[in-house]
Amino acid sequence: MMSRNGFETRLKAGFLAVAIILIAAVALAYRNSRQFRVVSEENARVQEMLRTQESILATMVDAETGMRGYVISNDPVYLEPYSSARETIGGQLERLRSLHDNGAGNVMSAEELKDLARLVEEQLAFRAKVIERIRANPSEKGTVRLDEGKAGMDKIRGMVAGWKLAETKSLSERRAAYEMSDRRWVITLAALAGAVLLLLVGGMALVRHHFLERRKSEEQLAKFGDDAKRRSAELEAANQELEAFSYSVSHDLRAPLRHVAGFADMLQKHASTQLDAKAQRYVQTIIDSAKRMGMLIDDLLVFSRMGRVEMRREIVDLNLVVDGVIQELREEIGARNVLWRKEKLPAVSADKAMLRQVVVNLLSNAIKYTGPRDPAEIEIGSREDKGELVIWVKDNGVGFDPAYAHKLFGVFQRLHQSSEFEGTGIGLANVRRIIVRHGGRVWAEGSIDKGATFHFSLPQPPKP
Amino acid sequence: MPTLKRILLAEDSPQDAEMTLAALEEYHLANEVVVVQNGAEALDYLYARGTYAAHGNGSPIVVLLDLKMPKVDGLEVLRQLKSDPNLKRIPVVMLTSSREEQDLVRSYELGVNAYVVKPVDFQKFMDSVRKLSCFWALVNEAPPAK
Repeated sequence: MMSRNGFETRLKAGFLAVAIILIAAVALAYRNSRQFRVVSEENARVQEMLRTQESILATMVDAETGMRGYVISNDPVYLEPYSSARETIGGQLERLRSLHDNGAGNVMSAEELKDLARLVEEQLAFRAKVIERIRANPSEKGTVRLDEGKAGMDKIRGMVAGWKLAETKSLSERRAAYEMSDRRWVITLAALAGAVLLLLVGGMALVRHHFLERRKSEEQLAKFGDDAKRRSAELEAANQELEAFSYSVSHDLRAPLRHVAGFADMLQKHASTQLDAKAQRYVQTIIDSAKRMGMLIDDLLVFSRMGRVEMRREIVDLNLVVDGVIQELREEIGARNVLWRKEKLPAVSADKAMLRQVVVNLLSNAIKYTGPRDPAEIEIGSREDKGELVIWVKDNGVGFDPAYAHKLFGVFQRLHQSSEFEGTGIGLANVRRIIVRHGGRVWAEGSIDKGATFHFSLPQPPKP
Repeated sequence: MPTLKRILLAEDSPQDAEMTLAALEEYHLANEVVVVQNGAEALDYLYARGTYAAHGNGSPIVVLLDLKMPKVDGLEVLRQLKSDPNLKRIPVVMLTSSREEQDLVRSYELGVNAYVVKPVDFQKFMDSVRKLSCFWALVNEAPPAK
């Protein structure tokens, strides 16, 4: 599944690529159109140049015609074309020069322009001379050497024709080049458009893929959520069943137990004279066993009740709870020498009654197992560890074999003989049950004859 | 001169009944006890009908009632008793193994006079019965007969 960042990066890259391509395409198109404009302007200039050249030729022909007409007829009216030619030729040559200077230079070189000007000058000079001669002496018309002018005119004609040819060739070359560049441009454009299209399609696919993935993971999440909900409901149901079962079992076991003990007692009273010492002992054993069984059942009942009761969390001052329990246990301590070392404890978020039960169990255990010690030292402290509150009870009692540490918190599990230390082994199981319900953990450290430390953790209370 | 003080014991377990009687021995009340084994019989006795039609002993001075009995259970007997103007004066003591809150609530709502949980420990059980009988049979003033 693509990470969010991966998806965003790729999308941005895609959009950036499309933007770049579009800008490039626009730039290229602009450049093309400018080029086109430049080229067509150049073309126009060249065309104009050719026209100017042709009109120069035409003007010269007019001059020639005028001159000839005058020579033949001696009528000044034929001089008109000649005079007007003289007038216009200057301007035309200027025009040609300016066109050449403005960059229509391929076709006609500066040299050729100079030649043309020179030829035109010569021609005009020649014509002017002839006209003058004839004007002075009309009878000399037969002596005019017309072929003199012809050479010059032919040269002019030749030059103009040459330029036209050159231009035509150059034009077709340019057109071919332009066509090729045009085709290249079309291909480039098509390629760019294709690229953009691909990117857009890719982008769309990416987005779609992303959303499909997202939806799939959402569905998966929902399914997990549902699964988790279902499983926790199942667990809850199983738990409740178990607790109801253990409640009814311990409840129903009480009555016959009462009878066993009760009738044994009644037997004892009724037949005391008839029972010998052994028989008395047998009856007493029955009574004691029944009593023990009663204790076990009671503990089981408490244990099952702990699970069934609704938890009511509140902020509880541990110091008060511990102080209260120590007070209660004073009777159990009696005359024994017990040193309490209590640090300042934090406030925790917990069910008050259940928490009290935990403290009772842990402290009375500590008291019990420090029985052989004088003085018995019991420490209670707390620390903060990675967002959890950890509270511990440490004693200098008989400890336990750490190899069996994992059994400590089991129901009815004991690591000591009941002859040494009284108890049913449900106290720690209760502690674990309660702490786990609060979302914490329990664990213990200890070694044989060197005391034990019992820890439990609770999640931090919510900040006010 | 007060009439014979009868105690009605409704208890389905014969062993519990026997133990109760043994405890009542202390105050020599054992022969004053009428034992029934279910709620129907208890009502029959109280209404003086059926098998007990002609017992002629009047109302008992206290009814020791077990909750869980076959046929008619303790709560039903209690309900009928306390809603009957002729019988509602009779003190009723629930003597049961159930410590369930709902049973307590229901019993008191129906007007039970006392609720005693049978101790698991037989000695405490005997002790409780002794104390009960001492109170209700000797210390307490029974309601005057109608």
